[in-house]
Amino acid sequence: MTHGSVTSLVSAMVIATAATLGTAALAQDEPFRAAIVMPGNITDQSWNQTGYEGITRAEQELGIEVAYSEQVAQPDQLEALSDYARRGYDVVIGHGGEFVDAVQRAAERHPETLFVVTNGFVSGENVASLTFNFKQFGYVIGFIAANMSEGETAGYLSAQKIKVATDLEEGFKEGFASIHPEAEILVAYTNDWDDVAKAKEAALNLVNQGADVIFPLLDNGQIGALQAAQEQDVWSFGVWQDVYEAWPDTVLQSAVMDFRIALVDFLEMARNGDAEGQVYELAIGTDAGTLGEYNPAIPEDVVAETEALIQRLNGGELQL
Amino acid sequence: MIETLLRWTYRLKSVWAVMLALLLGALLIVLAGYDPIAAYRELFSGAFLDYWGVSATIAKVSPLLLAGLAVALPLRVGLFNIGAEGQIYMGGLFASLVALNLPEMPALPGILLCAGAGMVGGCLWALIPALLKAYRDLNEVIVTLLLNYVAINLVSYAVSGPMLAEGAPYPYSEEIRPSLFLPIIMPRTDAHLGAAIAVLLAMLIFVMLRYTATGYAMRTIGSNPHAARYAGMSVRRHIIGAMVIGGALAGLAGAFEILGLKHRLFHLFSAGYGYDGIVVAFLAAGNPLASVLAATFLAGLESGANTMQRAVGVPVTVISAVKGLIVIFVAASLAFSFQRSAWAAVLRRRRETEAALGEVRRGRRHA
Repeated sequence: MTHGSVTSLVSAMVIATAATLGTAALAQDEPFRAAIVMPGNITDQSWNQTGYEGITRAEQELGIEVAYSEQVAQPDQLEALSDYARRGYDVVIGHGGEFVDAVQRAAERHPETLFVVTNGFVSGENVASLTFNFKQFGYVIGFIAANMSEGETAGYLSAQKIKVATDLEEGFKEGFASIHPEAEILVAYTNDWDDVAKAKEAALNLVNQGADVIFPLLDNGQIGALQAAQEQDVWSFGVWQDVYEAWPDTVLQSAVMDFRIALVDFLEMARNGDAEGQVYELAIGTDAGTLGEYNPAIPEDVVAETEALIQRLNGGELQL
Repeated sequence: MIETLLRWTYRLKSVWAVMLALLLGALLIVLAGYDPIAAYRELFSGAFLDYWGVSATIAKVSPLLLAGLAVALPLRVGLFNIGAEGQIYMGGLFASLVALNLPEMPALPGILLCAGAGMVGGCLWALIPALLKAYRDLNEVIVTLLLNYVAINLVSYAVSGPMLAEGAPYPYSEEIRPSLFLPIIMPRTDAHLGAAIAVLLAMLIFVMLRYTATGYAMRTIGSNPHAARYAGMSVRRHIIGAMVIGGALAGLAGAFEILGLKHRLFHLFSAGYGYDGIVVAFLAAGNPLASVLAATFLAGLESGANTMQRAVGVPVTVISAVKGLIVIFVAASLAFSFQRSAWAAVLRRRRETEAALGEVRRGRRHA
């Protein structure tokens, strides 16, 4: 018996066994593996922690094999993504819009792996993006803000004019204008996502210019903006997480966009073989993207109207 | 004989320091609950043995070596350039500005223009502390350090405002056109030509320092500026020159990061290479050729550390701690220098003892 025939016999046996055991056994033999590459620290209580918690939840809930890299600096992105692909991971996620380029290049080199970028906007043969329809969230927040604003002036505060910030701003303006078409929306960009003092100063500045409701989109700076709103007794909003409980006298509502749920849902889809190279844009009113707790200061009818608005946006009846 | 041995022991002090640091690092890895031997094996093979690892190391040699030279050269005239990081940012900014606005032209002149622009950016940024030092005697450590933040924020402002790409999900500029990409030296990897050019420049600077009048003047100023002035050398000119050339090298590092690796100007595109450059320069004791080794070592450590994280799962914080230990130990080792007189005293006593012993022995034989 030659070597060749031994190998072919063995492989025939393997195929036969696999066939009889069925797909469940195959899945056990080769567990589904997913890896995530994050730019910062997994204990930052913010963006990176969301990614980390998302992948660990997927591990527990879906029983898949996962790995992560944290604090991956800009120049190391491509190498980190490629290395996971070479190690045989089925799905490799770049956590954040800054991974768009690296993901596309890694995808060209490793066509057998599905690459995903969160907060991205690109798609391809083996490239998917996972993002939220930020404009819808901005619109709904703007709608609530307009209903609660007495001076018909609102403020929008963020750090840098990247896509998420400009989309939310646009939606916020449109939502506000749906009630007060002539209203003025003050906008400030501070160029710093984390500086609490700077955020506070910028928020105070917006209030001084007449804004009686402000919508801040920041990382750690969020706290500063909310402090300013609290001190000046104006309304404000949370973003990413529901922060009503921490700021009951300041926060009206929160645009909850939970990437943890989005990641678990996506990985479940990918494990079942249903994920494709496309942009998955999550609408408002989904498991991952929704509103938080309503502040009791918001009148009943506004709450009802808001809920109806979310339904219309989710169902596609209202296009932005 | 013993004296030469001692001399070499001292000369290799960086090596001992690194070994001690790695040993202590092993302890940290054990404390974190991982196998230090497996971790170091991954570190080494991930950095220097595997094709992809080598490519990742080479990709890092370019910024680390150029930043190292940017620190080492001013060090020769006794100046501390803590500002390589800012000079890298300005280099990246200038190179991207030219790359994005250049009319269509063949690859080579285009790349040269962009790289040149990067050098000009770094140069200008280094000129500020150089002039302040030469004419107003302002502390260059403080000026260069603070200018880093100015440069980083300038780039941040540029890419989140005037240069921001349409619909970008992160602060970055439009992509530069593919004809301006630096050639890749290892197929299917990120290892670009920048590292090779950096090594060539290191050799050039070595020759310049050792065999030219300028190099001699710089060395003299570094060891004794008063004697240098007495000998008719212009201290001012050489201080400015060394700083500005250093800035140009760091600027080139920034340009190569854009042209070779990122292909766009990114917010925070340098991962602290300017500060790592200080480590490179000190590891190499300011020697340009030794800088090549030091930069390769540090680049390998960085890329190997990433592999270590992915393969063994050692938390990146432990890896940062190991890197920190290396820096501390190397810095501490600089305090030990070969002191001939101290060792000569020891050696003399030894000779005297041996001589005495010899007399005793001879005395016995006679008896």
